[in-house]
Amino acid sequence: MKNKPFIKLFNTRYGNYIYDVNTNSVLTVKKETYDCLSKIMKSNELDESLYNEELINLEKQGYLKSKRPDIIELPETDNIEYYLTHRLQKLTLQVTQQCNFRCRYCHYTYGDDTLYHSHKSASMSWETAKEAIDFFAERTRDTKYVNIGFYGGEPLLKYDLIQKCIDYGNKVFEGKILSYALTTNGALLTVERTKYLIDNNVSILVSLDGPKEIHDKNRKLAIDGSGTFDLVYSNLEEIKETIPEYFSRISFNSVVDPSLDCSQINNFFACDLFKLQPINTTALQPTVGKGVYFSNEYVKNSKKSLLLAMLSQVGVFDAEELPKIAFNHYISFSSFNKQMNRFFEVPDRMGHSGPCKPGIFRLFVSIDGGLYPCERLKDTSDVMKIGTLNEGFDFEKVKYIYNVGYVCTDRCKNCWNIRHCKICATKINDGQCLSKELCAYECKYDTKLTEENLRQYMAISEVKKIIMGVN
Amino acid sequence: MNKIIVYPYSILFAPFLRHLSNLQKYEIIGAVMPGKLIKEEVDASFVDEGLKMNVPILTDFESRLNECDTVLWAEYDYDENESFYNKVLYQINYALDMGLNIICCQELSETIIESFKTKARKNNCEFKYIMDINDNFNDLQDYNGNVTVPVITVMGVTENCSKFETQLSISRIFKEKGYKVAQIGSRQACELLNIHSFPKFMINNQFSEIKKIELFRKYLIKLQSEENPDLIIVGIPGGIIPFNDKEKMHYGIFAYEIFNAIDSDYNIVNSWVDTYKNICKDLEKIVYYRYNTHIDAICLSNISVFNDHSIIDRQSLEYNVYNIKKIEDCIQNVDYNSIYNVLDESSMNRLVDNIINKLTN
Repeated sequence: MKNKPFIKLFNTRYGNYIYDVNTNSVLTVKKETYDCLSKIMKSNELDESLYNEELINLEKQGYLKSKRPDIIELPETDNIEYYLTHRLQKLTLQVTQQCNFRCRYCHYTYGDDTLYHSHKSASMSWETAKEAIDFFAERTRDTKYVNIGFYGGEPLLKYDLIQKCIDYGNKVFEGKILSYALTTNGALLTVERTKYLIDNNVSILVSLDGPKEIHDKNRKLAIDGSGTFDLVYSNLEEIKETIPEYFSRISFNSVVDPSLDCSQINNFFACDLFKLQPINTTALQPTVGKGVYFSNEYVKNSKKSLLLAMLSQVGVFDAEELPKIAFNHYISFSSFNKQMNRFFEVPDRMGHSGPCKPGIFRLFVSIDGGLYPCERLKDTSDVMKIGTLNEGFDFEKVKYIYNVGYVCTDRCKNCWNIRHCKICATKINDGQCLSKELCAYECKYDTKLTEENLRQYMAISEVKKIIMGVN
Repeated sequence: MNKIIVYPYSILFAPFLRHLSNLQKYEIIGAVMPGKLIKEEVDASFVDEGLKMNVPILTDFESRLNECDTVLWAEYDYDENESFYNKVLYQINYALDMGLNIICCQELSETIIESFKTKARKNNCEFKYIMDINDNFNDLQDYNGNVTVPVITVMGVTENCSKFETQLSISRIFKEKGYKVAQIGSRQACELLNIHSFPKFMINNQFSEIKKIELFRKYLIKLQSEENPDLIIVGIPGGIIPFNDKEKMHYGIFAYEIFNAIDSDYNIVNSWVDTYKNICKDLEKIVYYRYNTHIDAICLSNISVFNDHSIIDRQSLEYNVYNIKKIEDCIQNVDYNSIYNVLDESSMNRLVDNIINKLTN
């Protein structure tokens, strides 16, 4: 008995669509075809006699295949050992756990003790940093572009260590295209430090949530819990006034709290100081298993930003002139477009598309020399630890973390979202193991997200049709 | 015999160093790799996982200069790395100031070449620029007739698939068996190994494609007449098909011109090991319909493109360099008789035997 087609049905106000998993394409169909296929997909068995002419034609053109993967495993698993031995790309050093801020949404401030360490006074020694750089260097034989990042706590609390690492890195990686990255709260960013960092090819990312009333709501000084906006803003003003050519190379990250009105954020970043700067916005991440409150203003402005971004996609607006949040939506649309490459069919062996290769794209080294796949995780838990500087990589652990599909194989085999799923091990780590229950929870969220992306993807072409009268 | 240090060393120069050490033309002290990526001296084959060279990789340039009399300035990819390029210029100047000879395999501007030559003369040493090929093609008009000596071509599905290593390996094996080999290599610095580099008229925009085809035929006839070889090996630069929208691999234009200039007797196609399985069924058709010829052997390279979404916006391709097992596993799983492993000496010997078999039957 033939399996049902591997598809996902969805519709928008103006259209009825089939997302065909095998070919990774979206097919526009008539309402009666959509309804017919809906009935077929809901029944227990496939009854092809119910196929209408449109469905028969689609089948003849190579769509509606029922093929599903046999093995849920990312084919690049075969090359993991090679990558970990010769192709590391980015090293992130946790130079300190200390921080002069206590941001309300920071994992290290309000995390559960079993999942995150709280802010401590420990810092990385120069010996550990040097060992980490050497460890990384020995494993970059085939990598042309290498990057070293500095993370914390607040990394500028260890500015001397950062300078030592840069001096050493420049010698070790001579001949490669080397860059550095630093994420800072901006409180300790001076003119002199900015000049030094940028002259040494350090990309500086400053966390700034928006105007004072928004920024100060969540980003507090450790010493007395007061707001930090005035301190950070005055540093930035001084840098802009003194060395404007350097200021232009600073980027900003704004954590958007959906309980607040995000239109104020757009207005703030449209001011003279920031209007030419790259601004990235990230939504406040809920603690695993808990929700986030969305204010009415946020929802309204979010929808407005989405619409502006869609209109930019069809050429009504120049993307460069969009407000910052809308611009980030525009980038998301462009990124999703790139994922819609056409395929012949799903391979026999595949995993979902989301995860980066643990430790390879980014290797996070904790202050005591533990190796982790990224800085956005619970570094008190052994679940995500992929080795140590002394012992090297645990290859089998890396392969396990890379293949989230091992945790929920049967679900993934039949999941229409397999090409677009963004679940990574960090999201399903409950502190003890990679959790099947958390995977099921994240799966629901991720499939909804992809479905919404598909709707927006088709909505953009509908808008194009309406505005420009094109197909 | 000159004592040489190779600098700056990378995978780009590995085939040259491997075969240079076989030529026993120089005493090679070592190859200096930039940076400090290795802890102790390892064999120079470390960069390409190929056959051992018995040449150590060194990590410091200046301190080892007193052990040699010549610096071999190796070809290096300076793409986006101007600061390192300037460092190398500084180091070469330093070596000249010490009175060391320089053999230059890096393409340079006229101004820089002249400044180095001037400095060398002042310091009583030599700056030899081997990329400056005698491109005199005026006498080619006198060469008519046919190429009667067997011609073996080596092409790549793409660039960077070890086709130069294949050319050098089969050439060496043929010579060891006593054959006289004339060779046109696909790399500019071939002259270092006493091999003709790809003639410059083939990339000269002043000539039509028709003229290039005619000149290339005459060039081979000239080679045949002057060197009286038993066979000619022709390495074809570029790839035979574009890789994607950004990487065109010269659209296979050189292969098209060469196969219109000559009738080859044996054709070897090199392929990346990772992609071979995807394209093996179509490869024969591609070569036949594009170039009106057939594939006699596939040579798998341990190099493959690094095709990851993390670098999707980069300007140029990056490559993975696997070990020999990767090729062995692939060969075991493909259904094709005439497939060889570029890293395996016995496999390359079998390839040469196959060529001899075909050409003598």
